[in-house]
Amino acid sequence: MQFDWTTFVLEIINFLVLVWLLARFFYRPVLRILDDRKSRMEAEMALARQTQQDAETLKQQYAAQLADWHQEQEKARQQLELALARQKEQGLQAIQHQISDEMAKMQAREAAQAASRTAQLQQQAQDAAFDMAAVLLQRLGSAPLTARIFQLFLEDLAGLSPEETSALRDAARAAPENTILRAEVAHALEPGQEAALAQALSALSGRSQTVACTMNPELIAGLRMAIGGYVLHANLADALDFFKHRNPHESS
Amino acid sequence: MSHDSAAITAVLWLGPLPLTETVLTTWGNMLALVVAAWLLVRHPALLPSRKQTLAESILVAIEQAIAEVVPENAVRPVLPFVATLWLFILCANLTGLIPGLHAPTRDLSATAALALLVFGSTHWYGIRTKGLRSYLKHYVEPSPILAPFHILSEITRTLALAIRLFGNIMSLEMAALLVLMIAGFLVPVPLLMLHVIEAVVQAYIFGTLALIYIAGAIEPDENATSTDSPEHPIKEKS
Repeated sequence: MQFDWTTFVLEIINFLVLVWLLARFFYRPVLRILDDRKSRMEAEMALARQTQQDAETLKQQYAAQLADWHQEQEKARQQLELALARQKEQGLQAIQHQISDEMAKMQAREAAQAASRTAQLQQQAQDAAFDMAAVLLQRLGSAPLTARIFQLFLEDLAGLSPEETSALRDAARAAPENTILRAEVAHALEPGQEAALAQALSALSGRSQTVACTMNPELIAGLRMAIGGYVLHANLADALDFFKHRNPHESS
Repeated sequence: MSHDSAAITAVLWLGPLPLTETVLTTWGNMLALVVAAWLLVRHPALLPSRKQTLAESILVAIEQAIAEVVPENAVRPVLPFVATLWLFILCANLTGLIPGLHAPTRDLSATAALALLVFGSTHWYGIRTKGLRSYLKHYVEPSPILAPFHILSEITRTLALAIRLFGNIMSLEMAALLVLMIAGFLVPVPLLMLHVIEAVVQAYIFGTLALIYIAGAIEPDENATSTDSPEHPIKEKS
């Protein structure tokens, strides 16, 4: 074990020089690079944290906005459901009204149809009745019956009210002088009856009248004659026709 | 093996100064370290190359090791000294593996110089960090009676540093030479593998002890008086 003072001193100097050289060419450059990198990383980390914080803020804002939207959506949905329910109720009411109206119309239509049918049936029954009566009266119609009706005609003509008499007189006078009054009869009149008719008419009109009778079997029994604008019915056919076409409600 | 193989003799004379093999080998180690450092960090860039990554890894590992012992604000001031200790002693220890060369650390003059530097750096960092009065105050704490023991402790731990490194490296080389002489050419190879491990371990021990001494000087408290042991609990950083 030797100890050399020169080596000892030189080793101290050598080591100090080595410390300086390594600090100059190794430690400082590497540490500077490490520090730069660290500072850059810290800056980037700070930026990343800031970005993350911003993102968190945006996320919270978005969540709050989303919650508001959901709330508004729920509110709108409830309003829509309410409106739909109201509209549905109104629609149902309208349909019910429409149905009740349609039912009323249908009932009215059915009633009208029933009434029409009833009236038609009544008319048919009435027509059938008058046809039957006409057939019966056709069989009953005869010259004596015509003579009897003729007698009644003369009686009725004599028993007219003053107004009716005046009206017939005016109608007879409106015709020219010597106008022949036409009369239709169902059967041939008895002798003297045509003269009696002319006489009654002359008395009614206050001037001499001539009557010409023609045969019309369709009258069944009796006669029909025209004086001016008036037609005098005194026969069974016109009587039946009158009753046939008379409004049934008028009789009631 | 001759008796001269263990002797430290002057190889060259620089004027009146005798240059021993230890000094020359140290210069070679210094040159190798500086050239290697220059090659590794020739073009420093934020996006590192493989060589720069290696250099950064070495330095970051050393910085983390220092940061575990000393306060955070003292890491950078302490780093050049301690890192150079680790790198130089490792390099010097491994020099003994090169045939024809001897490790500078097998010379007591070299290890004593390193130990003296550790001794001086301890006071240097302590005074720089705390001031002269405050630093010297720890010698009389907890009692002035203990001041001689403090001083004795510092001297003995410095001697222990020097002799531990010197003894281990020299004994390794001696053992390798003895085995080579007795057993033959390839038999000392396992012993050389042990030399590699021992070189790493001794460099680590020397640098770590130096770091602990410096940390004790920077933060003197009740535990700082017994920092001679590697098992000394690491104080909490401020």
